[in-house]
Amino acid sequence: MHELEIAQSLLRTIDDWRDQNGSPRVLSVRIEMGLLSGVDPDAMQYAWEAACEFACGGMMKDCKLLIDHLPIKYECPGCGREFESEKLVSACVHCGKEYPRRKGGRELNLKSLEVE
Amino acid sequence: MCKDCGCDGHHHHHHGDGMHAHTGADGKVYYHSHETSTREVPLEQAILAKNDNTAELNRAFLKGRGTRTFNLISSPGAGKTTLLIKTLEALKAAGIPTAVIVGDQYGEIDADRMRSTGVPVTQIQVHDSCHLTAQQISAVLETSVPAGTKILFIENVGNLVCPVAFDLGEDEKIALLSTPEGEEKPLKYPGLFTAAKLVLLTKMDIASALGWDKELCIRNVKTTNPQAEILEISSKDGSGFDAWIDYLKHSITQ
Ligand SMILES: Nc1nc2c(ncn2[C@@H]2O[C@H](COP(=O)(O)OP(=O)(O)OP(=O)(O)O)[C@@H](O)[C@H]2O)c(=O)[nH]1
Ligand SMILES: [Mg+2]
Repeated sequence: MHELEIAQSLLRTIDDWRDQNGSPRVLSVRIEMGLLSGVDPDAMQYAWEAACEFACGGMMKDCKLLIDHLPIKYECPGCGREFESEKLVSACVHCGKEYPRRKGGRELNLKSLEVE
Repeated sequence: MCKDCGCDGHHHHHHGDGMHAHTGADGKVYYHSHETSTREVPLEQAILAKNDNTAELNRAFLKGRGTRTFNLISSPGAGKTTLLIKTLEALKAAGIPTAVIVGDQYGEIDADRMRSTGVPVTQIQVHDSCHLTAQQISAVLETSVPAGTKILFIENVGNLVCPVAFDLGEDEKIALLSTPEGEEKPLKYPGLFTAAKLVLLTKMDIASALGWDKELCIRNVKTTNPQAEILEISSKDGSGFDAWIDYLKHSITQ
């Protein structure tokens, strides 16, 4: 439900950037999000299309949203090794020690714009 | 995206020689010139940077006042307001000044319930939104937190997902998980449980009637967030309240 607000926040940033950079047409927007960001990718796409419809005086219509999904990074306090996982884990994939330290997973970042 | 063919850039492109090749939906390979060049502009920043910046200002303001701030998040009805009423009374008895900001979609019902304690309570109505934002907190902060306030509680809109992404300027997020919600919520909605420093397992008084499995629930919280502190509590019979009040007292002496 908060995906629309996230889309609008993205559009405000892009609008500001366009104002300062000669208002080029933006063809796509790349974002990255962690598995724990609490953002639903389908809802995000839907919200993005809705928000783009009239944004920036119609200049954002048909602008694509490209989503990179980031895995969760872990570091094991037992064996010291780092690993990535597509889901939450409660044991180190290398040595089996319980509760490896999670690093990140909640990212929600704008990465780049593809402009004309 | 290629303006000429509308392709989305996920397949192979040859842009070096000014020609552009791609496989169309019909399986054929198309070549055409690709004069309009596009460029990639890196713009690394948090999507909610504006909210985050306002949250930092809120945090600085509250720190300046010597106020410790807790952002309480849970599903609707997990017991946030009931817990706060009892907590405000206990802290008042201990001589610790508190304040509350509460977010709901409509009305002042929760604020009125908590005002019975005599503590200053500010209600924010978020209407069709599902969470509080740093801007909404910023707008009421000065009038909601009198000088000398030691603890500010922010009761977020009842929602297990959306409030988590919006930093309000709190020192800690506290997750409430009530026993009627079952044991699996931390695995199904990990966002909140990974962000919370403390997880309060609420409505413990009815746990046995529900057949609620405490060990399983705690294991699920720990899988999601091994560092989380966990307290079991009931706002009905008061069990676990001493540990909770100690937690709060300890946090303001840090
Ligand atoms: N048995 C039992 N019931 C409780 C407890 N705490 C709250 N309740 C009941 O749970 C219901 C919801 O409690 P609230 O405190 O309003 O929950 P809330 O999280 O503030 O709800 P929203 O603000 O709507 O999200 C009420 O009927 C409370 O009486 C508890 O510790 N034990
Ligand atoms: Mg409430």
